[in-house]
Amino acid sequence: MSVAKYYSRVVVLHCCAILLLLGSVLSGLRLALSAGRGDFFSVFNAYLPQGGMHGLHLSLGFAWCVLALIFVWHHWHAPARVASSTLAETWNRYLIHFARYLFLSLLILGGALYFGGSAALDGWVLLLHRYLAYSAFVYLIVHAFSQMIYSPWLQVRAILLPKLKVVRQVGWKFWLPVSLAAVLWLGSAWIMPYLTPQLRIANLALDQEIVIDGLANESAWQSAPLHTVKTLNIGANAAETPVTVQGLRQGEVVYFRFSWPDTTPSLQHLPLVKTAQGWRIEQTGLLRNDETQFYEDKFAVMLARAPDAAGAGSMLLGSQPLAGYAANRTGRGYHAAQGALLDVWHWKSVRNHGTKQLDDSHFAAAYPEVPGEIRYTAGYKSDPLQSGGYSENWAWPSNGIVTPKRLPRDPAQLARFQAAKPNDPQLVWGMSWYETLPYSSAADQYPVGTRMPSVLWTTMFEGDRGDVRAMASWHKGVWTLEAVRGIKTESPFDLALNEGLFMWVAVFDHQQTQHSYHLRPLQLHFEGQS
Amino acid sequence: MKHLIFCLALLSGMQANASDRWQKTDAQGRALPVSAGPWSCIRDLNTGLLWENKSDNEGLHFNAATYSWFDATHRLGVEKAGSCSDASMKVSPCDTRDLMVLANQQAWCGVSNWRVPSAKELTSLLLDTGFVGNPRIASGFFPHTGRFPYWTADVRPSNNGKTEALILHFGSGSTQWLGTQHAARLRLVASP
Ligand code: HEM
Ligand code: HEM
Ligand code: HEM
Repeated sequence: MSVAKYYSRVVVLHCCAILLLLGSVLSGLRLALSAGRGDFFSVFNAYLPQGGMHGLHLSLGFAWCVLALIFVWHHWHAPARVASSTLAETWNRYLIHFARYLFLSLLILGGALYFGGSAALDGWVLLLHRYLAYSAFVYLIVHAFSQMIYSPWLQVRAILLPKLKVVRQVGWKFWLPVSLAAVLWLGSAWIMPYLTPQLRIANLALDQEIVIDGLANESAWQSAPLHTVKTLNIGANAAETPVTVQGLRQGEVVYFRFSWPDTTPSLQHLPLVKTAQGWRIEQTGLLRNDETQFYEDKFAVMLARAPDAAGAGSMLLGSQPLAGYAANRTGRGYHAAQGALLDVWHWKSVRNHGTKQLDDSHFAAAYPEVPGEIRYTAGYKSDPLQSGGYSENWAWPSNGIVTPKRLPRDPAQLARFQAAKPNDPQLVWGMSWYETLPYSSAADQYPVGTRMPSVLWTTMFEGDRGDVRAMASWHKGVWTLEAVRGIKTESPFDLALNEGLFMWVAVFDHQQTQHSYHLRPLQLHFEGQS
Repeated sequence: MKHLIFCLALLSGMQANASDRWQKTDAQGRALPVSAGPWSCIRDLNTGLLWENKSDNEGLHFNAATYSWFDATHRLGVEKAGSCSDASMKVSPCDTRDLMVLANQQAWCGVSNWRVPSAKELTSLLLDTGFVGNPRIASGFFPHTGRFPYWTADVRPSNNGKTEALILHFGSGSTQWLGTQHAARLRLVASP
């Protein structure tokens, strides 16, 4: 092979590598930032790309793998060169050696993250992947500068300002594997579903009963296949929360059991505390939709017909990932379906307490902003409600003094909340609406320091929002949630629990919006049926 | 240059979104910023009309209170066939006149000309939010609106010699004639 041809290939490979590196670094930084791990790079928040970055990052990851193969092939066909031992040559050679290992490790770690779960090795893989990504960026700069200093300017210019003629010069023997690679890359989206782990759902005899109580002490649960999903927590210490999932089908209904460890059950939800000026909401981030302290434990299940990473591609990162739509206040992103609707089951330990229901919700394509609404949630909404549910004990949230909507009929009702131990699994911070009366200053004789729940329960959900029966209980450091739903419902905001449906789970450890997640779903497979 | 001015005008027109139309006011009728709350009334800056805000708390402005349709001046409609509570939370049978009289007595939001809105006025509140679970209204400004029928002032004699008034349903967005003896919800309006 002529040297000119060889160099034209170096130029083409460089163009690909530079584009991919920029794409991977930028999308990767956005992933890290949205997950609260942006390190120093958080200052670039405003300049990083927004939107469905998980999908982009992964598809660039595939492109890298393909590029690596082409690179190896390219090297095999390199013309012999006279080895030079000038300091500059040696430095550049070592640098390039280093780069090989660096990029190889990045790709292997990336693959490990995707196939082993982002939480692999309790977040260490992710941490290493992130620091190698930073190193790759530093390498790019050091290598580029070294080459600019030591290499003939013409060679450097050829890479920085590539000429169109290289496309011809590289020859068809080069373009053939590249085209094959491109096909492979484009096809990766179709290959992924076949690589999805299955959630095997056993059959439950019709005469066996499962009581929805969160105890899961029925014998059927002992024998049902068990799956563990390692979900990754948000935040600098990217620890994992493993969630075990089981399913049982009985005729036209499917039971699920989810459990996850939590040493601190949180059954407190934005309590009110009386101060000398009046009542205040105990909160640290409610007004940014990012309460992380005074919040109840929650759990979510997402169901979709498409397997794309990050909740069927519903996770759009950045403060305003959708042009023409409102921003989100956390700056991290929001959910909106990119194709068909996603069914979301959102269990809330305090607000759903006592009803044996969870909040049946959905992610649809982004809804328009409703004028004056306090929080724009893009495609996320609870399913339509006819009546029932819960409400907050204030008319409008604020950092300052709020007037409670209601006070207990009997002030003694508040006694048990005063001496409460933190994380008491028995004390649920809510009051029945019917045991309270509209606020009056005459009745507000509570001493400064009094704490009062802010969740007011009314009746069970009537309507689509109440389609899933569920109850959880906390025992010895583990939450167990049992849920049951008909395979089909009447609601257009639900998906039928059919063979092949994809499922994700998320744990909210006393968090309003920061939840653990995983990228690759489980795929429902009903055993012993067609 | 002309094109540029046109584009700028178009852009600024586009930015005038629906929230520029509504202004929250407190119980004395003083304007509040969009981000503030709670609020007692909502002013339509396009028409000058002032609308009663509803609350999910029992009391005079309780969202789920119902009223039969009754016009005392012309002695039309049916008295006391709904169910609402007054400011002292006493629940009693009531009609549209009761809410009007009480709101005027209170000078709610600083005005005493509260009345039942015409169908045209009430229909001007309709907004398709794109989600059937939401009432068809700018619910950020008009919280606790039900996907239920609300009375309008439009009235006509019915076939059986009684009267019926037009209701507007905030779930479907459609209007329909309903016998005045029926119970429906009510949101009052005041002209500027
Ligand atoms: C030059 C190449 C790459 C760069 C610069 C890069 C960079 C990054 C960065 C900065 C993060 C965020 C880390 C964090 O949140 O702590 C990340 C996450 C990730 N990367 Fe890469 N990456 C590269 C290649 C790959 C490859 C080849 C794959 C494999 C398909 C991959 C898969 C992933 C996955 C699965 C995550 C975790 C996403 C999450 O769960 O939030 N990356 N990457
Ligand atoms: C993702 C970024 C990059 C990677 C992974 C990369 C990697 C490499 C590798 C592996 C070689 C050895 C090629 C061979 O001998 O076959 C090389 C050579 C070279 N690189 Fe880069 N490079 C990158 C960016 C750049 C940039 C931005 C410049 C321009 C300033 C540059 C300039 C050069 C030059 C001039 C050579 C010498 C070519 C030769 O003499 O063989 N590289 N690079
Ligand atoms: C890569 C994956 C994911 C990321 C990065 C992510 C991130 C986020 C972010 C930033 C929000 C806040 C949105 C806002 O401020 O309005 C959010 C909300 C939410 N996410 Fe995710 N998410 C992911 C996957 C999932 C999955 C798989 C589920 C369900 C199993 C899920 C369920 C939810 C729910 C229910 C909410 C609403 C919380 C609330 O406000 O009550 N997410 N997510």
